[in-house]
Amino acid sequence: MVNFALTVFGVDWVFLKPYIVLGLALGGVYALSGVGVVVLYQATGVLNLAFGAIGAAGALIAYYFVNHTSLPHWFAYLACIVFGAVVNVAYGMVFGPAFAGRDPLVKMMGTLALALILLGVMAWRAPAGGAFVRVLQLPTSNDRYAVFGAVVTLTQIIALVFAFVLTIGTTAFLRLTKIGTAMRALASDREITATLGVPVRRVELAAWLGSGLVCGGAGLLLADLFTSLDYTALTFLVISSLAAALIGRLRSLWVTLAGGLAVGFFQAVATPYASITNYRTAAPFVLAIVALLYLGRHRTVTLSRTAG
Amino acid sequence: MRSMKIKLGVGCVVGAVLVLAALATSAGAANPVGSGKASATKAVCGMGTGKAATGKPIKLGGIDMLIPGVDFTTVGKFADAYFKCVNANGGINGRPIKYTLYDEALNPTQEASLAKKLVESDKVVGIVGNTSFAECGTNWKYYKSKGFVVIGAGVQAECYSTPSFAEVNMGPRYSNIGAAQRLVKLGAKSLVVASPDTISAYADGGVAKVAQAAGIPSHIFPIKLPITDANSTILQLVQAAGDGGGVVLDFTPDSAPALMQAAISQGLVDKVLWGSSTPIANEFMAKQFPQFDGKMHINQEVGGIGDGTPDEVLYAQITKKYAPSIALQAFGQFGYLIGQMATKALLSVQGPITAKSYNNAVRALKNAKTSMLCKPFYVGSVAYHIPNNVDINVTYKAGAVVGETGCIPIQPVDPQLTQTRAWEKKFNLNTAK
Amino acid sequence: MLKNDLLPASVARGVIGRSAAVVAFLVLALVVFPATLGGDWIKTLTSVAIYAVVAAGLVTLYGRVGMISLGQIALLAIGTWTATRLSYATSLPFPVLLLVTGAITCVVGVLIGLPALRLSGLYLALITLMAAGAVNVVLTTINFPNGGKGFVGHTATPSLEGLKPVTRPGMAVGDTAYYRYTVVVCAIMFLLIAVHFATKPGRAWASIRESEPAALAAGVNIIRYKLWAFALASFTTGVAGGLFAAQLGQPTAFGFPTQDSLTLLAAALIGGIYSLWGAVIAGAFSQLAPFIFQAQWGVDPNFLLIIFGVGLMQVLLTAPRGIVVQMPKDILSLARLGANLFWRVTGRRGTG
Repeated sequence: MVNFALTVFGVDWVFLKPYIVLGLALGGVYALSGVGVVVLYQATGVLNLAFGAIGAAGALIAYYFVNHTSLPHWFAYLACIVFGAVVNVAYGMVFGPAFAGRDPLVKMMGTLALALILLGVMAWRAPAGGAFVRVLQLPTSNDRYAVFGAVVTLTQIIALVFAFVLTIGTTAFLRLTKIGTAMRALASDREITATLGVPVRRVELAAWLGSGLVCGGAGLLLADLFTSLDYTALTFLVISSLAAALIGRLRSLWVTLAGGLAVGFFQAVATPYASITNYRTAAPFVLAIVALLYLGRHRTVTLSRTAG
Repeated sequence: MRSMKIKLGVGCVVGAVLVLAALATSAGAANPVGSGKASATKAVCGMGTGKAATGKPIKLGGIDMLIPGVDFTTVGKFADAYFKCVNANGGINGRPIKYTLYDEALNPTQEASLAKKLVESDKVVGIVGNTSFAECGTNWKYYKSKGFVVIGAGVQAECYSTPSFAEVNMGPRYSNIGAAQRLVKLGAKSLVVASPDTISAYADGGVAKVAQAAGIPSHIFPIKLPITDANSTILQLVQAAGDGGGVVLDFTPDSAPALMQAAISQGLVDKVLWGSSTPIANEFMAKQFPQFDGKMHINQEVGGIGDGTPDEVLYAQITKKYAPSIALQAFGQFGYLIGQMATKALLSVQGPITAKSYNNAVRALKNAKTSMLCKPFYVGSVAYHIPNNVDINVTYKAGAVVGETGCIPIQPVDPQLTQTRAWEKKFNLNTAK
Repeated sequence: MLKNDLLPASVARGVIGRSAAVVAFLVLALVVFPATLGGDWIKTLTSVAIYAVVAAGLVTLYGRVGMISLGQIALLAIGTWTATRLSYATSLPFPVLLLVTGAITCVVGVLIGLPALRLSGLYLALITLMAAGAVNVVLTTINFPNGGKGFVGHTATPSLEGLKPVTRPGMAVGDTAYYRYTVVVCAIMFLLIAVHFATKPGRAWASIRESEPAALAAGVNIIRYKLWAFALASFTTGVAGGLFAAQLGQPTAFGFPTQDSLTLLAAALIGGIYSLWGAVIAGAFSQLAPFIFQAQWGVDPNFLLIIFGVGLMQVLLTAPRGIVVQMPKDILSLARLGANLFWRVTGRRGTG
């Protein structure tokens, strides 16, 4: 075994190693949420700020099934994923047409309204306890693997793999299938796509459905990775996940994935450096700002109010 | 004949039921919760008469913080439950206590305006039960200007360094010191302490002083809530402590599980000595984390819930009758103590009960015994109050919280503690046996 | 110049009408409220005035120029922090303190706005949200000044007996007096913004919002006017931050969570993002509503979240110009309906 007697900016390599692994695991979480958000945005023009809230509500439902009924656990997990899909599709069906021609900012604020309502309902029906917390542990968290001096659970690996599979799968889907092509056309220009006879509403609903399934799945994984089901934290985690989406400029899925991994990586690797460790939770924000400014360095001029 | 037998049978059953019912109610009436004569083995609510109070209500109020993820209203709600018990036992010389509890969302404007509402609009004679991350700092000057002394449960510095508050708990700073001194006793080679970054500056300074006195290194880690990268955080703490070092966690059950689960996942539980402040000393946490049995040394500011002492017994009874939805926990115990001390102050008022007379009675409180605290509670007319500065240590065992040590004074690394103990001796504040 | 001859009568009437409304509102705020409402209301209303100014910054940036900035709360936090630090470090008279705070916040706002100018629409909104998130992390880490030394001015062991809170102006130490002072200063900020709207910058901003290429073609210096908008919004928010610091006395980082930027935007949309009156409603909604719901009516604060979400959705769908435009319309239609009903019932008009 070759031992590196290496110091990186004053921190021993031995101490730094595990954070790289932990960072990639954390990045998988950001990447997953980011890709889910970008896919929906590309197909419908809606930046879904309720992504975290829907996932948290689904996780609460799964928690209820696991702890207050004798239904099998896989049913509870399925319920969470289905809930995500149902809420997303319902929102898309009811409010999609209403917001169709509006500014992307207005569409985004609509999802904020949904997030606030969900948060209010969750806080009302499942208030935070003083002496207890809700813990939703997936069975895959019992499998642990030692990598590079850190320990990674199977759940974290699943989150990372899921992010990759989602990116590959969605890219292939968008390129190779009819609906996928229709979604890309929609993202490019809605008006022309409609005149070409593409069933716009149905394609949009398909996008909402897919995004909803990811939402529910991400909610389960995040609830497990955070240990305590803190629905406020989960709801506003979307702000950090947006950073990954912004690095991909709300367009490229692969760059979003890489961005999410980068955010997780930098946030974790900053931990052992005493001078910046207290600021490491700003990593998503700083990286997003840097990426946007660098990638957007050619001046753009807005031609129309409704363009994203 | 048969109809006669049936009638007789039914009559017997009805009679038996009536007798049983009478027995049950009379049994209940004979021993309503909190009634009787106070003694060394029995605690009662207020006057303990067993009769409901029907006079003109005495108005008390409180402000508790309620933000997503942290709910301090439990403290005020349990104080209210205690007052209900007092009202069912003769009240304050026949007058019931009416307690109004407001919640605030960690919004300083709200905190200030609610304090004004209580004092000037609702015209309460006293304020009790306040617990918040920021309210002590926001309102201490206002309370001082109105002559109010608030009996509550504190978190931040201003709760323990101004004349306006007398807290029944000792707050995170002193609880952390207690946990740290225990780890030093167990042989920790270094000390690491982690608290939410919003309170870290105040809560963690004492641990550094304990380390200094013991000649070992220390590190302070303010942690941003909510914790999104528990694995990195726990690894950072354990790396800083080194093998055989001590790590003191200062989190509520909302955040601690993420860190403890990460420690278990990463295989770090046996690498260091673990300590904590009070909030995670409850059955739920003990059941959730059996891997920490005997390894998590928690400094607990109040007595053991099931220890069978008079006030703990009454606490459990009040919970069952007046607050069945509140699980047995430290916040409930704080509420009990607050209710108990406020009632003592009210009962000691000679003459009409006004804001002035009540708050004077609060300031005059001393040697107020309770089996929930190691030493009697007091307030006194001193510049600041740290009445709870001796407590016990507990740990997890088989899904329950069990005692580890007896009552141990918090190490006087702070000049305020030394001064407080000097005042206690000088004015006989808690020295009566 | 024959100015009066050139001014159409209807425009003159409109200006007088609007001024009368402003004066009436100020009389209500300065005279009627303190006389009839208790100290707790006055404290809350002071915050309403302050947040109204912050919302006015949003109205300027989004309603007038078409730029969305989700960093207004972060600027308020920076203003509050700066005023607190200056109050401990210097003994500037309060009005000067406000001006200096406004100026410093203005510089920070422009520095943040400068690189963001190249972006538009959703990207601009999101990058300002990211900036707000970063500012929040920094502020919670360095904490608010409390009499300590150094640039950061925060000490873990403040000497509480000697701790002076942020000093209020000598003439306005009590809460009611400070409330009046705050309302007056906020009114001046609103006037400053209104004057901008009515003159050259306002016209330039309107043209930029309509179409940037057209404005470019017409010779409008887009960068300069966009920066001017950022500067104005940041200055007024900075002054509001200074007022907030003295209102709180000992501010902490708790008061400025990142999600407040989103909820303030929601409140501004509900109030009416194209009008300064809408900003006043937004301030009332975000500060007064929690107070009324919890302290006055004893409603679970979680219901407020739900109502907020529903209100936002309703406004977005049916009344994009907000309450300030919708409510008078609704009241007018209600009045017409009532009048028609009355006449129909009494048979005075039309066929029954």
